[in-house]
Amino acid sequence: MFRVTRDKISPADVEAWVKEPGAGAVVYFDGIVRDHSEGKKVKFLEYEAYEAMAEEKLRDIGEEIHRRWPVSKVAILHRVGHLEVGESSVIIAVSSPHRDHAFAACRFAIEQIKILVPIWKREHWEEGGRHWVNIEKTTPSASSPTAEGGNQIY
Amino acid sequence: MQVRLKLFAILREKLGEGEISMEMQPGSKVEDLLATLASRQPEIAPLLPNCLIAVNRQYVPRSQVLTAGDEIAVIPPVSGGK
Repeated sequence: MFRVTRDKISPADVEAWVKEPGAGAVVYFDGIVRDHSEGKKVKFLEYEAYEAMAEEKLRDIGEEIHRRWPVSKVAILHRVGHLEVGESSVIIAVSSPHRDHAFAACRFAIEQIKILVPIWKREHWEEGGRHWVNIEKTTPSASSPTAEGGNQIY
Repeated sequence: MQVRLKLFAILREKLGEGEISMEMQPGSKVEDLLATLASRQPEIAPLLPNCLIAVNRQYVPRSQVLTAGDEIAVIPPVSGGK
């Protein structure tokens, strides 16, 4: 189950779907809007996506997980739009017969999302002002993004 | 030939629109498109070197040759976080 949505998301949305009789473990990751960022108080976040590609990339990450580990099911939900502090922005759930693979796959999923999935985040601060995270920086990054294992994406 | 260009986040805001069409010579590459875009829209030119490019929703290198009707997305660094 791979979805980019404007609706609120929670682990409960995927729990029944990932559970199955052969899976002895389910590992969840719940990414939550934090109230601070680099010394500033965050008022709310705004996420923008290239939605068609983002869903395809979430599916690609799921397929890669199935190639790497003998997991049962993978679900990834990513929310876009206006998110308040404390709300979930991303939910990942991986079920597998044994827990080691579910932990590894869940960790892999979130790290890959942060590299490959075209979704952008803008922080709005309590003090006023806003910025696109990772794009508007005081010191521009000289390095281009890299995929798992340090390979250049392009 | 005509190609469609999608721009997101800060690029969309600076341009005031998220989708534009551009006329390119047949055989043009992604790098040619970016050079044309940079000269036509200097306000976003400094951001382009850090962007990834997707053609028809797949990441491609800047040497990729474009085809008429391609949907090209200019993808600024994604949201990151630790």
